[in-house]
Amino acid sequence: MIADSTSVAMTAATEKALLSLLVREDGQEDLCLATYRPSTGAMRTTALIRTVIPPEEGDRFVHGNATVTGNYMLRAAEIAQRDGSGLVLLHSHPGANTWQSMSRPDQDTESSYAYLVREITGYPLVGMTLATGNNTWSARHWPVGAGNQSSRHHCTNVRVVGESLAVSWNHELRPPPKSDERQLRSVSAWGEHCQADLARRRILVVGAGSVGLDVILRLAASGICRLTVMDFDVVQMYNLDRLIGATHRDARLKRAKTHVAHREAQRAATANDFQVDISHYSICEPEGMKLALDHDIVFCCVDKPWPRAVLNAMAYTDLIPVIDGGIRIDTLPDGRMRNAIWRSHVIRPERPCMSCSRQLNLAEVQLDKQDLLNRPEYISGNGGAKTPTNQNVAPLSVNVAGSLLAQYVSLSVAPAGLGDPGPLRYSLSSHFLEHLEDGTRVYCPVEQQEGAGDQRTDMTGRHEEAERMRQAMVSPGARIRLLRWAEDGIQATAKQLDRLIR
Amino acid sequence: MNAGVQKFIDDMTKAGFPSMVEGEVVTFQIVPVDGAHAGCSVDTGVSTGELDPWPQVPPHWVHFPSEVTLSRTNSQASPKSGWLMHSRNLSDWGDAPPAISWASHVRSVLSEAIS
Repeated sequence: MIADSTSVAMTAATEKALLSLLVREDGQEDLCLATYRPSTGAMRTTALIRTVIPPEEGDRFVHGNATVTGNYMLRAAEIAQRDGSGLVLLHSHPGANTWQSMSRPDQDTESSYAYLVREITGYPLVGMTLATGNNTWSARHWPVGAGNQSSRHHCTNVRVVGESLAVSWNHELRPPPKSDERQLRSVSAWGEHCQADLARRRILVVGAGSVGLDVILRLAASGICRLTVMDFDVVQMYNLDRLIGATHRDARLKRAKTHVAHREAQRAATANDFQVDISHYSICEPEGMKLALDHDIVFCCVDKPWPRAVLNAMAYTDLIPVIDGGIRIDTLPDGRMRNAIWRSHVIRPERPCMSCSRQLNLAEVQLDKQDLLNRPEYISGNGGAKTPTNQNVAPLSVNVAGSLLAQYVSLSVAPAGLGDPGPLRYSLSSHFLEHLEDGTRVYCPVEQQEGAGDQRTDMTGRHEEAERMRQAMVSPGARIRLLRWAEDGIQATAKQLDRLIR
Repeated sequence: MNAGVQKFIDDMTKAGFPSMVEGEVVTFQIVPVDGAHAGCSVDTGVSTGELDPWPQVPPHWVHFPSEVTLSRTNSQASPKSGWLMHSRNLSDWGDAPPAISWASHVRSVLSEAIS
């Protein structure tokens, strides 16, 4: 069974190893093989490239073009099978610089090995082409269907995760959106090509609270085409001093935070056909995790330990960069503010995980998973163990959002060729910005699962709080349902008016 | 048996603590260097229900036979008859493999034993 769309992802280190084999000084085509693990989302299957298997003497013939031998395919397929992985056949197109369509010989080669590879490894063959002019990748999956016939599924994109996230796009499946005067200032900042790249990336924002909502609105205004918001919480009165755009009515009508995010993002969006998808699952639930795997970048805007641990692991196991951050406000015993510190970092291979950089207390993850952080009887029995603090103020939460978005721009645009800057910490009292030199622990079990894909350690489970909140959302009482219906009607009319004015 | 439980058993056994599943608890023996049981082999265990995310996330509850008394504790009945499980935090793995860190953590808890 194959999902609706397919893609390929690899680390920058893997790409470097592949380039050293595929780009020849004599300008001829070359080829090599590699293993991959599938990462299966709700709608997208990604092949995560793991290990490069260089050709040995006699494994391929280079004659302007390159021909793979059956022996090489068999040797590599057996290596892949022992690793519980699939196989990727890669070749180069010297001098090309766009997503490559397939020549008849290339197609024949890949289709002729698709069945054999699937039989040995249990996974579809993945074919890839490197356009060496500018290192643009193209890729396709070869699932074997009825009658043992293989069919080609062109990938939507190929992602290389390093200091920057480089994405090669299949323009037929995901055409570049045309920018207009609404994105003029953005285009003038980073160019048409970059704008078309950013606009197509699928971004997930986990948590539509004060920081998440700010991030969502800025992304929508920047011209991205499709955004997913995941949150199971509803708007409360005490959210209103930070949830910019949420109203008293939202709180009175017990509106989901995703409802506010959807409404405000639609208002802020500048892309034609902008689409916001909403999910009321927790990222800690299997359904939430599967949905996250459909995305190219994830913003972590939650502060609970369990969801942060799930996202922390996913950045490595599924090669999806997670942009994370938070704020801590310290108060004096008399209640006055002592200091505020906000941090941001990109979680990805070659950077320390949240635990290694002391941004995730693993003990609290297990407590959160068991719902003990919310139980007063457990907290008091544990000698008054600390509970998560909730201090936050609107003028400062925007700095966290700003810091996350700056990390996003560095990761995506790489100004002056510099990608994500590593972990940053800003101290309000002294107004001092620090680059933190956190390292990876030798035995970090999270980072050791790089590219594990579907064979990752399962961090998900039943999430009772999310289940309770979803239930509360659908059965709010007759009066609230009626008022929601009236408000929705007014907003639909306002939308019609907007369309007429345009 | 789920993958996390099997991995815990494999990791602990490889680290020198042969482990086995007994009902809903994975048990092994450990020799503390301090506390009332210093130098003696003590039975200990972990709930299988806490091991799904092993080794990404350490378990929270440390299980001992009820004869093991700790100087301070927040304990509940263990699923293993005649045992208690004690609430203890392990915030990160430090610089050792998770199995070794878990054994060190259990030894540290046992150093508080008063009987």
